[in-house]
Amino acid sequence: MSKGNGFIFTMDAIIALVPVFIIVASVSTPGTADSIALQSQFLGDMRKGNDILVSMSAGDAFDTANSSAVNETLGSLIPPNLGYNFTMTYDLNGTESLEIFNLSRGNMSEAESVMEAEQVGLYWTQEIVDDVHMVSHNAFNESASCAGDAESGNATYNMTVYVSSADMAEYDYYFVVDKDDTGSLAAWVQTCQFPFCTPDNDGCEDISWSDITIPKFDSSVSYNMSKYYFSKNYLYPDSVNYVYVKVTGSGEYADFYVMKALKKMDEDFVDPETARNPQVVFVSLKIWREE
Amino acid sequence: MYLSNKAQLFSLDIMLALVPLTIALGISANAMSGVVNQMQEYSDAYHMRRMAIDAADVIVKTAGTPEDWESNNSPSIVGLAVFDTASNRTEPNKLDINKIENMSGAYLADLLAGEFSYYNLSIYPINASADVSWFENVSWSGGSRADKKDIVVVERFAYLENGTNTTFVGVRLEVGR
Repeated sequence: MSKGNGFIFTMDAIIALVPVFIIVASVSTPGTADSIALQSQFLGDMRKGNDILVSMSAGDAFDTANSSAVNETLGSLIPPNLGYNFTMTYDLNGTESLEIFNLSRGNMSEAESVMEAEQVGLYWTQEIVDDVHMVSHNAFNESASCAGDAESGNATYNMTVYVSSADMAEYDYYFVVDKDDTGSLAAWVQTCQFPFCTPDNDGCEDISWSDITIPKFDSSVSYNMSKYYFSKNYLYPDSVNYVYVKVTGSGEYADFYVMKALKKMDEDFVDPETARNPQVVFVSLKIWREE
Repeated sequence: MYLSNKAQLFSLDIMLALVPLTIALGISANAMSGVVNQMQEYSDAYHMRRMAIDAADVIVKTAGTPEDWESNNSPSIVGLAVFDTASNRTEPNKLDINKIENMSGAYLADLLAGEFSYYNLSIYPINASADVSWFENVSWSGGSRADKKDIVVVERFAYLENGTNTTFVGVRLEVGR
């Protein structure tokens, strides 16, 4: 039985308002403009990131081990109101990777959203500076020994290596011997500042053949490659270095290399085969706007 | 109080109840209409931005048609990227100084296909620390910016070299209607 009161505030009316509110809420779509503006800004930053990577690649800006130079270029290209993180990594063997650059500005944790541009590029993590190939011990002993050069005034077999101070700060230099097959072979190396060496090693500072003897090769070992790390004492910065090689053995042949590799790279990964071509690296640039 | 047994579908109560419902529907209809207009504006703005972005892409990432238009032809499509004849490939984001020198506002207008009553393309050096006195800002424009309701700006980066001189440059395309 009805009490005779109006029912405008009854449960019926309240229930009836539910679909009304749903309709109103669904058509008013608050925040659409903001979300579209944010999306547009995000896409704009993405294009910016891709442009920067492609432009830097076109300008050979990655072809340096000097991280401050790369950072300076990034700093000039990326507007100051944006933070960034730039990384370049090289896959060493499928399981290990070498981080060549990791440069940042700003604080990524304070970013509302982070845009990432990626690129695959080429980079010299290690490089052959000079080489001589298929040299037998006989040829060396006969014509390229220091005593022999003193008479002729020239060395027949040598490698010419220019080492800049900047490169010396970023790279390690190695003398690498890659013997072709088994057998006993020993090699010696000497660096000089002049394109000849003399019996008493004038012009070659204190270095002598015996000072930096490459480990003798032995048929019992399973590998044919040996590396010698040139310490700073044996290379003259901002100067041409003449690297002389002498071998003794039982008629074996070998290839000799002077190589440079990033200081971050473990000596085990220094390999002339890898160093013949630029290595594939993965480049990533993250850009963000901080709150 | 007497209670009628007749149905009350057309009673005063339901008439009163229809008032807020009608108001709500009116507001909804108005909001819906606003959204339609808003979507139209978004669509126009998106279209305009998309065209500007595509035009900037063509300028920065392609050499144009023909690729050597700077030497003897007017381009059917203008592009400023270097075309390496040895490898027969375009170098995106690497601009050709000769193409910049031969660029004109008319080529830009053709590229934009008359979609915009105002356009301005400028190229400027970025490296603040490097000596870029060999390259000064260049720009090409058409129309007046003053009375335009919608303006879209697209900014791209590229690399420019002229012999031994090199610099990174910004490429800024501004269009309006």
